Formats: sequence, structure tokens, C-alpha cells
Amino acid sequence: MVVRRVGEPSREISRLDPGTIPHGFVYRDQGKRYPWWVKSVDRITVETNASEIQKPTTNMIVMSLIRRAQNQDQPRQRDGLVKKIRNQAPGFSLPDVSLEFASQTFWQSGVDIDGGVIRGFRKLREVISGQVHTPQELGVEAWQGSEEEASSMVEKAAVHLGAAQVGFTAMDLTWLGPNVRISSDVEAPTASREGIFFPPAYKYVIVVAGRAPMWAAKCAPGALGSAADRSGYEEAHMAEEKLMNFIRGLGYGAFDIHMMGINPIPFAVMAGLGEMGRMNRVVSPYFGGAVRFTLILTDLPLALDKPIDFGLQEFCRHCRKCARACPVGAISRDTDPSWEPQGPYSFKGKKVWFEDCEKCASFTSSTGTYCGACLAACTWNKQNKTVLHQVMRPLGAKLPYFSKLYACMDDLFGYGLVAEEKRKTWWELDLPVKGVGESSRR
Amino acid sequence: MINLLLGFLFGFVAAFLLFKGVSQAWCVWALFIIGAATVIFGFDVLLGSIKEHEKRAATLGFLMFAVPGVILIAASLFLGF
Repeated sequence: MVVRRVGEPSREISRLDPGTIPHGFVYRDQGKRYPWWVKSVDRITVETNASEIQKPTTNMIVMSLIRRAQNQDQPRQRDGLVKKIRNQAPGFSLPDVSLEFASQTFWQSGVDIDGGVIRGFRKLREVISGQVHTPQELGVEAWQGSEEEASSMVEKAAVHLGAAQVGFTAMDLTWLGPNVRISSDVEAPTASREGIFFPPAYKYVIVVAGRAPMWAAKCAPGALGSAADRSGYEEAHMAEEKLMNFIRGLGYGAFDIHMMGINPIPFAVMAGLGEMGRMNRVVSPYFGGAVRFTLILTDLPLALDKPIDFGLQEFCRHCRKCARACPVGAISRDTDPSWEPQGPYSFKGKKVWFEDCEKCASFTSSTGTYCGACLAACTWNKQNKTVLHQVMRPLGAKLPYFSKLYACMDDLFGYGLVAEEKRKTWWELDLPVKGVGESSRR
Repeated sequence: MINLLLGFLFGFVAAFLLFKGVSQAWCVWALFIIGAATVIFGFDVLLGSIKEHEKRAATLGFLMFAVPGVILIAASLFLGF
């Protein structure tokens, strides 16, 4: 059993290729993590250029929330929704809208319907942290063990506490804004007007995944689709809050940095929870696009995970199903990804299919709901109730060149978004608990 | 469960033919087995897709796999007798 002291100063992560796994960390055995058709790799499948990496100064989600709060795209959020309910707009019945808000009961608690600022769990944290009983309080030693033991234990705890999947990676300032810095002057991760500061010992990131219910997600865009999106984040954040309490109970620090405005996408890719897809979001080999992520920063020494490759880059070159599903045409239809960002909310340094964030943000804030149509339409969004999907997943990974054929078959079989006039049939379906079916995951 | 039942049914038919002393060419047996597997796969797609609330996938999947499977079984029986 290897014991490492908490508080060792972190080595600055800097490497020539920011897409490669950082050195100086222990990595856990990736062999049992995924089935044979998903490879574990030492660098992400997205090309990066260290000399061109541009630090993000904002992101599309934050901007759409700010625009909504400033009423830039419609008079008032509340008025827009009321109008849709009264006009019986498809996908905006009173039950649909009520379900959307109920799906984010805890995560967005304290957020006004017209307010764009995420306050969420902060208001509840004082109450729910009452279940944390630190070793210090109990008069016992903090937990000690090897990095591999820590990762295995945290993973099992996370799944018990509601996470669909977890991944472990290192804190890397490459993907973060210029206002995020490592500082020895703080004892815990801190966000203030001056910036976001992480102490050197907090170098381990736990990416927590929550599943978005697929059947509701396919009713996007609209309140039902938004309810699915919100459910995904709610599940991720609920599991995250409990997991943070678990880690604190071991005698270590744990902080939610997603709510500090840190984008979880690069960390989810580095932790091997998926690859970057055409919609410029993460696609999971298990859940497709029906997954949402949040981040915990901790000083508990963990064995890290590696990125994965399941042929998605080649698959997305030909499929384009998400691009066809986007109601405003914001997703790139180019065959190959590009180095050139589009609009003010995307940043240089990686070769991806940049979306037109302006169109996406405008649509999101003008409808008053979270769209997610691209994520819901993804060809990889499938349950596991028939052997057909278990055959098609390895085929899609190992023969991705035929993804156009797979996408055509997907359309022929009726998979993908539900037509507007049929969305109300969701209320007649006999669905599993929390709207998510079976799937394998680790 | 129904897939298992179908599998037993086809296996029973095959065993019956064997015990009757009917000797077939290997290609006829191959056709029969492939046809049976395809029909069973079709039923799996049908029932699994219904559980997934994908009615169109259920219908199309069943037609796409089970119908050719039935044709292959019929062909094997025709060729064999």
C-alpha cells in the first residue's frame, strides 16, 4: 500500500501536446473499463496545437444565460413561456413546462425564472453538508491508501450515490480561462471577482456523469426535451454533492468547480468518458449524447483514467445526424473538422467541428428552454434492449466509414427526434424509474 | 424468453428431421440454420424495440430480418425434400 502525503505541491502540467495524458500521475488499469471495441489511448482523438491554444474567456451556455437575464432575445422569459402555454404550442403544455422546472429542483434551487445566474446548490449546501462527519470530528485518522485503491473506492461510491459513470483526470489549466490560476495563497478552491484560484494540492479532477432520459430527450426542442437535459444535470449534480460529502468524510477536500464556471467537456474527454462529436460536445460509447457532466476538484490522490477512441471522429465525418436535427442549422456540415472557431464563444487551438454559437445561444435564450436536439438525435443514443444495438455499436466503432449508411438506417427505423405533433404521446409511455433504461457502464 | 422458445422449436424440428433419417446436404442444413437464426434475431428486434418504445423500429426490424429468415427456411425445406 502506497501512502502519499496530502499537500504535496503539484507539478505544473505543461507539455508540448496538450491532448496527451500528463506525466507524473498513476494511471489505473483501463482493461475492464469498456468493451473490446473501445480503445484506451494516450492522447485524445482531437488534434490540438499548443502554440495556438486560446484560453476561453466565456462559453456559450453562460452567454445564453446572461442574454436571457438581460432579456436580449425576448421581453421576459416568464412572458414567453406563458404565451406558449396559452397558445398550446407543441411541446409547451403546462405539464411539459412544469416537468422541466421540476427536473432541476435541487440543482437550480434558488434560480429565478428570469434570472440567468446559476446559484443552485449553494443555497442548500449548508443544510446538506450536515451529513459530513470528518475524521477530525470523529477523532480518527484520515483515510490512507494507494491511488488505485482510492479511485476504485470513489468509483464504487459514486455509482452507489447515483452517478452513471465517473472518470478521473488531472487539473489542467490549458483548457481553462485566463482568470483561473494555481495559488498557494488559498487553502481551498476559491472564486471571486479577481478570478478562480486552486491550491497546488488540488490537482485531481473527478468527472461525474449523469444520464439524460432518452425518451424525453428526443422530444427536443421544447420543454420535454429541456426536462431531459435538466434531469441529466440534476442527476450528475446530486451524485456530485453526495460524492463530495463522501470524500470529505474520508478527510480530504472536495469542491464543485463546474458551478464556478469551469467547462467539464475537456476534462470528460481527457478522463475517457467519450470523444468530441460533430456537435462539439462529448459523445459517450454507452450513452451517446444523452449524458451530462460535472466536476469535482479534490486533493485525494487518485489513479487517473486515459482518453478513449471508438472511431467517433471518422463516424462523425459522414453521419451528420445532429447537424440535420439542429433547428437553426448551427452545427457544422463540413466533412472534416476545422481549426477555425466560429463566433465569439469558441476558441482556437483544437481541430473540432465548431458550431455557430451565436445561433445556438440565440435559439436557446429565445425559446426559454434548453434545446439539446443535437445531443438527443445522435446515432449513438440507444438503449440495450435488443441485440441489434449490441451488434451495431462495435460495427459503428470498427467500421465507422459506413456511418452514413448507419445514419440512413437510423432514420428509416424511426430513431432520432420525435415529431412535434407526437411529443404529447410521451405522457402515455410506460417508462422506467427516472426515465433511464438499462445500459452497461463503469 | 420467446427467442429461447423459438430456438427450441427450430432445434426440435431439426432433430425430428434427423431422427426421421432424412439426410440432407450440408448446404441445406446451413440454409436452415441461417434462416432460423435470422428469424430469432427478427423476433429479438421486434420485442426489444417494443420495450424501447420504438414501434417503427420494431415493425421494420422484424420484417427486415424475420421475413428473409422464413424464406431461407422454406428454401431449405423445399431443397431438402
